[in-house]
This record gives sequence, structure tokens and C-alpha cells, in this order.
Amino acid sequence: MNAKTYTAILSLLIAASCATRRNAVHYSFPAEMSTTVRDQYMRDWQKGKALYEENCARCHNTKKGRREHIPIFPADKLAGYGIRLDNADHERALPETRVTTDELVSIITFLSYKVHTINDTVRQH
Amino acid sequence: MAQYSPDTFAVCFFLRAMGSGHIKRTVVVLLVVATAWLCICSRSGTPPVYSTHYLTKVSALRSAAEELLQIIAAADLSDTSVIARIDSAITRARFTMKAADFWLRYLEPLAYKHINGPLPVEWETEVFEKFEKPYRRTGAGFTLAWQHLHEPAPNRDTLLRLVKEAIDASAIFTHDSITTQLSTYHHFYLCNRLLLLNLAAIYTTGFESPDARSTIPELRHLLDETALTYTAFAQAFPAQALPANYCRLFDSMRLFVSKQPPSTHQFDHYTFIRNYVDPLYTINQQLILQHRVISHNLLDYALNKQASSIFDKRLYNGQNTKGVFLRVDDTATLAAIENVGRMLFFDPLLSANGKRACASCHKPQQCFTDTSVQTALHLNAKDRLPRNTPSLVNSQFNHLLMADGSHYTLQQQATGVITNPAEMGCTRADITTRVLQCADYKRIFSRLLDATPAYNSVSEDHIISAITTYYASFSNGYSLFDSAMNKQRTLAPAAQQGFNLFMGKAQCGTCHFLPLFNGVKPPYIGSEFEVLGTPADTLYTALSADTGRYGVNPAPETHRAFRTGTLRNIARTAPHMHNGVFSTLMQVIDFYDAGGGTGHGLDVPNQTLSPDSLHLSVYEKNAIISFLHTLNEDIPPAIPPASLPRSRSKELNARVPGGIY
Repeated sequence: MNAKTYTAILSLLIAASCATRRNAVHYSFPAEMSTTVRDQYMRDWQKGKALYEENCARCHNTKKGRREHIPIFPADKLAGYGIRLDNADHERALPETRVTTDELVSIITFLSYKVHTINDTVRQH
Repeated sequence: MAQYSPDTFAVCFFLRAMGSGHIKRTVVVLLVVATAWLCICSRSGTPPVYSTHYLTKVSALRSAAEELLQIIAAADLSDTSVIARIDSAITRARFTMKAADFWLRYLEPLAYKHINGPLPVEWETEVFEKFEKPYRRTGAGFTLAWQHLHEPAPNRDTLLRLVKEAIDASAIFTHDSITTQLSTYHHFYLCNRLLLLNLAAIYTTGFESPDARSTIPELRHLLDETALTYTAFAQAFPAQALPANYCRLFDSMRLFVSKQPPSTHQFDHYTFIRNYVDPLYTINQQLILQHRVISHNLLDYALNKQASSIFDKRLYNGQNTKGVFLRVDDTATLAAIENVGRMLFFDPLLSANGKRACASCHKPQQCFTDTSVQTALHLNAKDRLPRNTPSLVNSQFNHLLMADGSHYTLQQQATGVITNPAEMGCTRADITTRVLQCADYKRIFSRLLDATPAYNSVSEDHIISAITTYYASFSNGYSLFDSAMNKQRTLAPAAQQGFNLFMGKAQCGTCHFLPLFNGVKPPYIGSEFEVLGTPADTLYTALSADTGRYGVNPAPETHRAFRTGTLRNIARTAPHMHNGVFSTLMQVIDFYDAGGGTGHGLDVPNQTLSPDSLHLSVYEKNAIISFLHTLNEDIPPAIPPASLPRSRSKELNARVPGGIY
């Protein structure tokens, strides 16, 4: 292997570790969930995660050092369509024309089954 | 609006009360209101004048309903004079309801359906719930009570139930969760927006109004009462009060209505909407932006704050045409998505035999439908499909899609056709494989991946979303009617008469609601279905065998029910009805004029259309057709791609743009 290949592998490893660090969010589904449903939820969770990062993270995440933290949203705040109404900013940031109801459901799945870490803080909105 | 001082309001109230001989009840109502007012003000600081005004109206409604209940409870229903007495009590109750309509419809529309429900049973799929199975909701209130009262043998218990539910529903409007909304100005402009949309779509047509003779008198009362509401609001929120130009125009509208004949048949709907309702809507929309009105009602998400007129295509958000590309704002990227969508629309790649494209049946030169056949050819090239090809123009302005409402997103609709074995017959897996086998498509979609962070690779969603993005490019056109409503043009006298017939005597507007002319009515959260009794042939030998909505949601009410389609471009989209049975508009109007299937002697036990004749003359029918022609929109010409991307799969390289069909 020449130097070029080593550099390429090294940069890939660095990129992968950075990605893991930034995306170090895990999920936990109830044990009684069937494999089929679980797979479906997993796909929805992944989609919801990307959509959260695209549409919600900028306002809701907090920075602690170099790490970004996703707040804990209480279950009653993740009440479907109510999300659009509870927060006055959502009139602008989360209308139907920007995030569809399908997508909102994915974001709720992501936030509901995300494993909370010790640094997470509870957010009311 | 200086003429509506609180003194005038009080005097009006007492005069009305004395005129109807209910002084005692009025005093009781006022005492109740005063107590409620004291309670509310001590807790939430609601501006007193305005909240008292609201509570007075809600209490008056409740009292009128209670009075009605007592009359029914003590009545001998075999006595015609008693029927007449109940009839007038219903009319009085409806007037008190109209006085509060401004708030009731907006603040709690579900409760309102128990006060003024138009149908005994409705199957609902609203906003969020459209993802779930439709659910049954029973209607109640004054309209249904009036209808039942005038049936051959009215039942006292049924009448009591219909009125009792209205009383219970009216109590909901005094709950804290509702009244706290009155403590800020935000709800007011949204209530007013809904009022103006209903003035254009519902209040003048007789919809929800059982006795056609009452429609215009009720409208006058509603407008007078709304003026009083405006005054009370102005006193509570002077900084956000309606400006003088709005009040002047509103007063002119009241004057106009007061001089109109008291029948919907003679009412000048054209002038009413064009000169008053729509300009008022424009001002109200400006005020919503100016005062930064914030919604606390999920129903508002269907409506766009940027629309400057009722006849602005942005009025109703409707479907997400962009699919996964929803958040793309960059015009160059959007143009690229639309262009690849157009290529796919004309590309037979997505059909099992590689010969049929979307454009094969949704022909761009025929308003994106096929006007040459009653129903399209099956993919097996032998049989016929059961339903007429619907035009794709304006398909985005729907809550549910398809004649039976089986799809709730445009992406489902496009996927449904591509994967239907009778239509295009492609498998879901093949959609992505076939498209990515073409290097050009692969390159275009790979570049578009940047616009969809939720996806790691090009998927079926990207392909379908590009096709539906293309739909929007031919749904943004305006019609002569729209231009006339925006005062840029005028309609010819025959078309104006036709429009007034459409909204009045012919009752078309009670199902094809302005401005979409389909079954989506204010507050734009559901699609209506109707059972018309459409025949299988023009000789009316039998009913169409198609069960319609029943196939999606089996229930007695949904048997042979079909979603109300738009009348925009209707003069270009023959043949008509779900089965394409009628080839001319005159045949369609004759069908309705005679009372649908029942009127033509067919057995349609659950027909929602009145079986009575409309008594339209030939001249009147032609006037309606003249008006319908003004709904033809300016649709930009669709240019088929000169060539199609080459595929790695050689047998697919004989494809012809637009397909062979």
C-alpha cells in the first residue's frame, strides 16, 4: 500500500469517527415489539432523526463544549398536531408547507424512542 | 364604525327581545352573562366589553334552544298549528345561532356540527385523522330538527335529541379553553377570515339552511350581528381594530344585501362576492400579516396567509406536490426537479410493457385527461378500466384524492397508478431499478440527493416526488372567472346569470364550493362525498355498478358515494362523472335538473342529492354552461421531451416520448 492509500484510509476513519460522535444518538424500542414492526419503526426513526436535524436542531439543540445535545421533550409535548400549535415559533418554522404530517410523525417517532443520555436536559417546547 | 355604539347594541338587543315577547328570559340571560363575565374577568383579564358580548350571544343561543326543547316536549305533533309553532321556534333559534356564527364555526367546529350539522351521519377524515380509518360522526341541531319536523311522521324523541345535543354543544362554548382565546386579538382575524370564506362559499347558497326562504334573511341578520361584534372588538382592542376602509366596505355590503330580493334565486351572488366579499378578504389578509396574527387552531394550517384574494391559487395549501423535495426553495434546483418530473411523465419506462406513460392517458393537450374515451384501456389492451381518467390539473387542491378518496397524498396517487396491474403494472422495486438503469436519470437524481438529507441514496420517493412536482406546473393557471372576481375582467351577462343560477336556483354551489369548485369547503379540512345515483348508461336503464367510497370505507352512507370533483376546466374534460357516462355538459345538467338517479326513476335509497326537479329552463341551462366555460384556466403548453434517456437494458431503448397507446 502506498502513502496515498494510507491517507485515504486514515481520512475515512477520521470522518467515520466524527460522524459517529456527532450522531451518537441511540434508540430503544419495547422488547415486545415484533421484528416487522421494529424494522418499520427503525426506518421511521432514522428518517425522523434526519428530519429533526434538518428542521428542529437549530433552535432546540444545546451545545455543551463541542457536543450538541438534543433536549428531552416530555411525552405530552409530542402530541401529534399539537406540536404545530404549542410553540408560537412553529407557525413560521413548522407549517404544513415545510414539514408534512407524515414527516412530523417520523420526528415524533425519533424523539419518543431516542435513548436519553445523562447530559440531556428537559425542554418544555 | 361609529354608528355601532354599545348603546345602539343594547337598544337593538332589548327591542328584539321585546318584539318577541321574552323580556323575562332576556333579564335572566343578562344576569347569567353578568355573573359569567365577573367570573371570567376576575380570572383571566379578558377584555370585558368583548367577552360579555360573546357570552351574551352564546347564552341567547342556549336559551333559544332550551325554549325550543320545551315547546317540543309539550307538543302534540299531529296538530299542524303546533308544527308551525315549532317551526318558528327553530327559526328563532337559528337567528340566535347566526348571531354567534362568527366565533362558533371557528372556535370549536366539531361542537358547531351538533348545533348546525348538515347531515345526520358524516364519515370524517380531517387533517391529522386522514391517516386513520374514517370515523362516523352524527350531526344534530336546528337544520336536522327542521328537516325531521317536516317529514311525514315526525318523532318527538328524535326532535328532542337533535335539540338537546345543540344545547349540550352550546355549553362547550363557555369553557375556559374556548373563552381564553378571546383574551387576545389573534382569534378575531382568523374568525373573520373564515366568515368571509363562508360568505363566498356557503352563506348565500342555502347550504346548512333547511328553509330556502330563510337563507337571505338569516344572512342579513348575520351581517348586522357581525357589525356589532366588530364594534365590541374595537372597544376591547383599539390598536388592532378593523380600519375605516374595511368598515366602510362592510357597511356597503350590508346595504347591498338589504336591498337584494330575499330569495337565493334572485340574489346577485356575482356582485356580492366580486365587489364586497373578496375585497374584504384582501384587507383581512393584509391585517393578518400586519398584526402578525398567530394561530392556535390546527384547522388554520390548511390556509395560506400569503393569498391576497379568495381567487388566489395559494389560498388553500392542499397537497404537497414537491414530496421529499418539500424544503427546496432554490429556483434552479426546483426547475431541475420539475424538468426530470416532466421527462418521467412522458417516459413509458415506468409501465410493465415499456409502452405506456402517464401522458398516454393524462394527455397534456386534453387538459391532462383523455377526452376521446369513456374509460381508458386496460393494460391488457382488451378490457376497459372501470372509471373515467380524472384530469390532473388542480389535483393538488384536494384533501383526499381519486373518485373514492382512496389516496390522501399525491405521491400515493402517482405510485398507485404506476403499480396498478390494470394501468401501468410496474412493481415498486422496478420503479427505482428502471430509472437508475438510465445514466442520465441517475446523474440528475444523484445531484438532487443533497436536497434530501433524510435519504442516503436515490429512492422511489425521489422519483415519484419529481413527477408530482411536475403536476404543480400546470395547476397554477387562472380562469376568466378568477380574473373577473379580481376585477381585471368582467363576465358576459349570460355567464353572470349562469353563475347566479349556479349559486342559487340550480344549487350547484352547495356541493361544488367556491373557489375550488370541488367538495373542499371552508375550513378546508375535508373532502365531501355525494351519492348522486349516476346511471350506467344515458337511457337510465340501471345504476352504475361502481360502489365508490364503499370500497374504501364500507358503510350504509358510503354506498355509491363519490368524491365531489372540481368544475374548473370542466368544459374541456368530457366525458363526465366517475364512469364517463355523459359526453356533454347539457346531459350532466339534465341529470341534476331531474333530481339525479332517483329523479330518473332509479332506486337510490341513500341519495344525498334532492330527488326534486330544479325546474331549470333551457335558457337557464345554457347560461350555466356559459358560466362553466369561464372556469377554463390558462394552462401552459406542455412540451414533451425530444428524446428519452438511454437505458442499460436494451429492450427499453425503443421507448417513445409520451408512449404508444
